[in-house]
Amino acid sequence: MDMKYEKKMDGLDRALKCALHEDVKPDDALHRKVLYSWKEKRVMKVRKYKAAVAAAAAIAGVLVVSGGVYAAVTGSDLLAEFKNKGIQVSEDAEKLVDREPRVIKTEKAEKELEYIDYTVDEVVCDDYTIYARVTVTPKDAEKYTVLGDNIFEHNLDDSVSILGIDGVTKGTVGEYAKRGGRKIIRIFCGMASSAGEGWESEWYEYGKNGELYCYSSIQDIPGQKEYTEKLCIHEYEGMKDNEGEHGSEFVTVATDNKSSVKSRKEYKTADGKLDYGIKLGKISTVTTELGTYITIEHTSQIEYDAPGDWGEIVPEIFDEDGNEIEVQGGHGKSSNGMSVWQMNCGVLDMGKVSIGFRRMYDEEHDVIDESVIGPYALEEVK
Amino acid sequence: VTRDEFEYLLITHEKDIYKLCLHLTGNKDQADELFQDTWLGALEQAEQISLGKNPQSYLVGKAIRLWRGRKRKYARRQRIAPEVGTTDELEEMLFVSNAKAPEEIILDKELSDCLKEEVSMLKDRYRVVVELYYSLELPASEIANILKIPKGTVESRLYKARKLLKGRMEEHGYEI
Repeated sequence: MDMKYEKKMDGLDRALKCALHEDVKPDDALHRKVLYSWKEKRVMKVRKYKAAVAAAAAIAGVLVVSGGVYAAVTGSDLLAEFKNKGIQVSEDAEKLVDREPRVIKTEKAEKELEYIDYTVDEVVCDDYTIYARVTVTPKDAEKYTVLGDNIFEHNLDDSVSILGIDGVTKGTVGEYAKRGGRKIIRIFCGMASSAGEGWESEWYEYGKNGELYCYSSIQDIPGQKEYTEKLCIHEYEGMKDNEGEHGSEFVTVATDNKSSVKSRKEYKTADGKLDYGIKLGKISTVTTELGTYITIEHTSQIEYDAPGDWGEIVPEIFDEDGNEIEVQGGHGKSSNGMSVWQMNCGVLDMGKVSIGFRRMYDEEHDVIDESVIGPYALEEVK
Repeated sequence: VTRDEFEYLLITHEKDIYKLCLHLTGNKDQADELFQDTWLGALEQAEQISLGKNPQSYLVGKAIRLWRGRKRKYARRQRIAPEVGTTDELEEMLFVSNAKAPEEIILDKELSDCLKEEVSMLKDRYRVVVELYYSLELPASEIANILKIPKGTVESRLYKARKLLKGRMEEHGYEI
């Protein structure tokens, strides 16, 4: 550092240190959640009512389902991807696959894509959620390596195994990308909705021959005959944040809604009153070919004179053996003191599931996130 | 990394990592989420954390990469589907720092707030090095290692950032 300049700027240095050197720390609940995640070897995400997001890519659990599930891959890459992620969908889902979605370039970007070609392979829409699969290939595979934009969450020094390419496990991401002097081209590919609510997610997978498969999903307003979503494809040179943005395309992808909602039902707990004064509102389900969307309304705070701070509670769903069912995606919001959670749980036999609640924080008993309330069997409201 | 080691890491570095998250996002909720995701990301790659190899650098780098990813994602969303919200909501989503000042030791609060606001408005390339240098008090060599840029680049960005900040503070009537 230039000492002369350092001295000259002494007043500013002191001011900056004072302004930025705050003595802050995460609150105890957050600290414990991180520790608990380590203990349990699983992610205990902070769940929020506002814009909570669950990316399908993060799903590791296998849904327990009954009868009529999509058992075999019949040529749909998107449905195969669901299967790879442990998400079971019904056999009827095949009819939702649109292999020739209408793709319209809506806006010409300032700089056209130079390094890649792309095709929108498939769109699957089940009246609530739209999934798209895009294959990106480098125009010259000898010169360029395409990486998904989420590579930024990692590091070029990380093991190449995180990319999940068959047979490619040795070395780092950087070594793989730059093999043979190739230039790194990062790709972002995702859909966006003007609807505001719901979840949006993107995830990427890699093919053996340098192709990049981009998956994205978005939730839109149900009940439309046709869904038209905006799809954005950006290419970036190298790893320098946004500075390397080179080209981009914006297209609309349109697909007909071929889904037929199988059922809409309402449920209540079989034994009525819940522990700790939790008040349940409506429990409703909508079943489509891709799964069952469950909406649970409940009061968000426990009316219980518990030691410590119980904080928020969140609902969870169990299978017939009492195992928690991983949700495929979902979001929550709070309105007039009532929390509303909507979760997509894949194909479910509602006659065999039960619900419970997790309490998020109990300092007195050193519990951070624990399933304690329920499970309660459900019965249909006729 | 064993559980005890992880707990040691958390206790040792959580204040700095949380402070960084708070400064980058300027919002407690987003800072909480970034903080947790940073540690969970580290958890997933625990084999890469070595107690003897400056784990703080690894964690700081992770937090910055996650934050950048979110900023980019939001910026893209705005390009293809601009969201309409209140000014406050949009500012929050644009990660403009509005974190409240803690106890003021030397500076009066007004000056401190003004300086923080100006830091938050620097371009990311300057802002990040300023945060790491002044907030976490990391040396330029370590910042260079975290950001994967030459040490000279860190120093020149610090120089430029200070020059910019000095000019802007003078415009506000502060002689520092």
